[in-house]
Amino acid sequence: MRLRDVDTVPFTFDGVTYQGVVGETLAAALIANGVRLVARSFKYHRPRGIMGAGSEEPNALVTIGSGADAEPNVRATVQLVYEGLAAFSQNAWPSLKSDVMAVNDLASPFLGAGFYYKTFMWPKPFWEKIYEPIIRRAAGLGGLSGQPDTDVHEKPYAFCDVLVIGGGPAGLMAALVAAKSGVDVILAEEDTALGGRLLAELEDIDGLPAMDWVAEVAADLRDMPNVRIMTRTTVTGAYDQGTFGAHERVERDGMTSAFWRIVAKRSILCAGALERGIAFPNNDRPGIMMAGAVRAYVNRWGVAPGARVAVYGNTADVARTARDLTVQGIDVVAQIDAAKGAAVVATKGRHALSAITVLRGGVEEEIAVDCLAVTGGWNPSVHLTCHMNGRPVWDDKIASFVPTAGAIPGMVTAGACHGVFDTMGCLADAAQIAEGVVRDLKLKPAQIDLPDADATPYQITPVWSVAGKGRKWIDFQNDVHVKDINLAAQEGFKSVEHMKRYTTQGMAPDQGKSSNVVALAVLADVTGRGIPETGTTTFRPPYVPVPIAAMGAGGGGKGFAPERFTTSHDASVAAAAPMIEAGLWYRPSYFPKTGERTWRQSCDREVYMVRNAVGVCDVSTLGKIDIQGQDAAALLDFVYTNTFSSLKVGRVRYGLMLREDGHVLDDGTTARLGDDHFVMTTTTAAAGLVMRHLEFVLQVLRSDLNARVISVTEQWAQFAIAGPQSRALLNGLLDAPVDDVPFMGWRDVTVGGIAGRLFRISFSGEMAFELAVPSRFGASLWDALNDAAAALGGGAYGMEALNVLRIEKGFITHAEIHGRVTAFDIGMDRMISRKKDCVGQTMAARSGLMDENRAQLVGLRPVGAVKQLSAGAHLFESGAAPIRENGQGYITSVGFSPTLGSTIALGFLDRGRARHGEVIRMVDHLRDLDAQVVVCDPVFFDPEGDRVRG
Amino acid sequence: MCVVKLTSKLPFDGALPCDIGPVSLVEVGIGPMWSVAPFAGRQADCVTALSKIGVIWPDVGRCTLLSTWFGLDQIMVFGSTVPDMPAAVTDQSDAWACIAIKGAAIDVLARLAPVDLRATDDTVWRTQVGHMPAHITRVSADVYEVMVMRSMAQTLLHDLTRAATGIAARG
Amino acid sequence: MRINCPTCGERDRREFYYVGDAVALQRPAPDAGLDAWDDYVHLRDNPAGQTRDLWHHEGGCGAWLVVTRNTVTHAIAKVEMAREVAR
Repeated sequence: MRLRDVDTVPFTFDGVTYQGVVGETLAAALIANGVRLVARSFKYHRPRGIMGAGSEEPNALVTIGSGADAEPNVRATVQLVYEGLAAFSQNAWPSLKSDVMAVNDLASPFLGAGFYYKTFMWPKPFWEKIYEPIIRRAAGLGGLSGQPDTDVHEKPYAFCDVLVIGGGPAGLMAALVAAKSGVDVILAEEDTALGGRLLAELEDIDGLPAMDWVAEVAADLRDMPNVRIMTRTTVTGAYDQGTFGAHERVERDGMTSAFWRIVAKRSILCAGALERGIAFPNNDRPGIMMAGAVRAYVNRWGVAPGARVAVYGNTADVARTARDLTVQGIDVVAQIDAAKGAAVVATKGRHALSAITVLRGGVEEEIAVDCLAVTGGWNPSVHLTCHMNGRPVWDDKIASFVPTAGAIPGMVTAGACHGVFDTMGCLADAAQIAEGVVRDLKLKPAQIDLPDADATPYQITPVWSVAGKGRKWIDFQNDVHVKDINLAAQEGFKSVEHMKRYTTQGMAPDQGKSSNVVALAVLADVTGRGIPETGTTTFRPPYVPVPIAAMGAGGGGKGFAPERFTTSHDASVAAAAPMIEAGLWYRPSYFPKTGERTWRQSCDREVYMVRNAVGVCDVSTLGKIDIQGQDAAALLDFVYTNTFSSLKVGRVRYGLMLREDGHVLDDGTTARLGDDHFVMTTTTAAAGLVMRHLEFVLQVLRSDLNARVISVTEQWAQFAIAGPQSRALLNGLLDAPVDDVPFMGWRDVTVGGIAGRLFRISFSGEMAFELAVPSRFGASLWDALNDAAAALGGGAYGMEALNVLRIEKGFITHAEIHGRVTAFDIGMDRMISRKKDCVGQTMAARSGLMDENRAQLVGLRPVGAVKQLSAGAHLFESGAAPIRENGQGYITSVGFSPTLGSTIALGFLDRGRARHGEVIRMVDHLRDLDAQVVVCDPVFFDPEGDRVRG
Repeated sequence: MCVVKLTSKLPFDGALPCDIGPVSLVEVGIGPMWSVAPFAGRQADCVTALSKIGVIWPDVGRCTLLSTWFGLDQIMVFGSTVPDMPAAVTDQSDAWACIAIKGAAIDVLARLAPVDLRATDDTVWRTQVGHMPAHITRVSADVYEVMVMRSMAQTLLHDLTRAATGIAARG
Repeated sequence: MRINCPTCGERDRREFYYVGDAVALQRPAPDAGLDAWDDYVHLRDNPAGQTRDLWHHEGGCGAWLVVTRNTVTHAIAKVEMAREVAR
């Protein structure tokens, strides 16, 4: 029932259309429409109704929307109504009213705490086939659609000097003091509106309704450029060095939600307090609500949770609730003062509360009611202060836990979460705390006059549970009641952490916000310890559930990793080349020609083309590092196993780099541009790694070396021109002939007047060059190279052909230098100069890394009926059983060589260099291949290297 | 000998400018840009050499009209030539791609870069935009320029567009 | 986690590449013997308390940093430029 005239829009719950007010919570709208049964509990499928009015709500979890964007487990108390909102109940089938799983409730004597631990132990084979499928079907709350989420989610950063968490009276005052003192403030408030409890209470400030004061302060804050107010934003976690996580809900069509990372120099926690219940028999019927929530629905939302309401509790909130209901003309049929020993001992009503039985002065009386407002007192929201191992301490005055000071570096607490419950006290506390924070930031705090507000002191007589028959629920979301906790203690789970895990109390998505303190009070009682001694369980982030979609925002699809494109990318795509990933780069796999039906046909043609005419290939992805300085050569001598100080200007040398543990890091060529100037080439895969390694050497190991390194990978578009016609191609393209450039030499050149560099190096074994021009000319040069190659019977070649060409020559890539091989393994140990120190030199000399029995690089060719070889296959002695114990090595690279008319492979084989000519066995259990192969030298083609020298 | 005519192409060739809600993205032509990394103990000589051609050495995290801080012991200098100086100098004109974000620039970058963007004009950051190494310049309260490696230009455009779309969706 | 880079100021952890124990600064002489080298390359303490790490500000200025921090409280006591510590 609504208490005010309002404009409404239609929304649906379980397919039934109701009228709601835009911007009110779904919970308020359901109450206004008299909907009381909204959910079924997790374990026993008990009928449940709305209990709270905030994010701590344990019962009213619903699914919003349907299909791909359906969002399960949304608390109806935080979901806002908009026109057309479609909400659905969860955990009930076929309907909320007749839920077949409610049979669990009848079986409840057998389903108590520890049921799962005890029951599904045997027989063992039953677990996988019978128990688990049943449990899985019954478990869980709302379900996901299994389809990709198309909603917009964001993951932004925000920075401030002071983060104020919570926009109630304390938060507003703290923000005001801080902001007026000139610091940058972020005020984060979970609710749609500022005000906190003042939104829900009938209170005056300075003689006017409290919300007038809230509006005035809010307007003041909004006018200040150094204040950022973030409503609908729940701070979910406190992390190291002043970092906070916060979840913002933005309700729109295609809902946006944002997971903020907020960084603050200081933070003031003004998170308020959460009301707790009392464990009395059958205290979970729809219609039994927290008293503070009842006041929120009546005062703030103008909806009546019932027509005949009883109020039960142990603080002045009983009278306050009764007063507020009476003001609205709602019939208050009973005020049950738990502080004076009165208690509710029974309740009635299957799908909604119909009556309660009250025990007062030894007399039981049944009273017909449709709503019972309950309060057991308030618990400060200490959660965030515990996120870095802090433990709250017990405060007898309020019979609850308060934060330990300094539990989060830079964080202070104020107001109700600091254990101060009256409004005047909150304002004064917050002002004082904020002034301290401002002084801590070396500023002068602004003086704010405190308004006059309610200062009624908080008094409480703790009441945790009452005697009586029936289950007294504590954790509503996980269906844990008093007896479960008693049972846990009885069975030896007396530590609060053990009790929690045994009963699952506090382990539901609400993390026991409304149940924790009651639960451990009950545990303290049954174990005969005090509450402080019993202690609390550990509060961990997030404070409220955060959708994974928000945490992973921006990380899907193209947001997962950058895509790096070469300047020839568009041309390759236009030539129908399939692009494959090489690290972050995209490179053409092959360039299909008309009539070619398989990649092998294209690859074979491209290999033939390079061996017989000329091929061009974009090699810009290789790392290029410019090295300058008087110690540039010394740096190279230190990072490469071989010597570079002896390299002549104008020449290029191949170099091998080790890690300090003696294994191979990378290889590549380095050209000497001048006495103190080199340009190093790295593999595509290790470009970043090598750059970091050089910086490490210069800054950490050899800060005595005067040299500078900088990546020039992106500055240059670089193309390989390979094949017997490569020189002819370049002589026709460049502004001057290149006949005098020797193998392993380089030269400054110009092409169409554009300055570039030409390196005569080869990764194919053919006479070959690499031509580099500034990237802006890359696309244009690629076109020119293709035209020139075509005129000579050549063309572009891709990664597949490049791979075959280098396997034919036994050139290694990171398929071979995969991190576990040494220079010895690849036959390059003689490249480790002994005349100087270099990274990895000492460790590479360990006998185990030079052992003749190690697996060594070999070539392999099929000699039996099976001609197919595969990378990853394992090697065995001929006739040996293909089992792990007999393994003697593995294949790293495979290709079909059109030059040799055979599949060829590179791999590592125990004592391989001494076994050339031996026939062994290759087995690939995954691809079901079993082949006879002969061991040979890894250089299959032109072993003398005549072709490369032209 | 044939005459080849090479034509140049900008990183965002044709893809910019574009508007998304309150945000405009515009390509910034970088022009000639040189990295300057003074050799050990020689920064003062480089400052002097550059000042003779009117280039002011930028402080850490700052830019000037013709120069910008670019990292540890490293600045970029804009202009067709740089003087001889005791520094490692490389041509970086083609290595980077640059976009100016106009309108809600801080909000766009807050979705991509983990840095505090509250600063004065001419502040620069070496940081990350999404997963990309980046250089950000605050031109004015409403205009920020972002540079990433040239090969990542398309990813920058994608990430900025996505961020701007989120801002536009909030209305 | 945030690290106060001496060059760039306080920055988010994601800009930094974690390497490991700052023992990497004390590279033994080539002839120091295999025990010294084994210790340098492979053996690490795992203290509950103060530790010295090497981090690379790869997503920022590129400086290598020695970070002194507490593995229990996560408090960072000191951040230094590795090349100055190495000197």
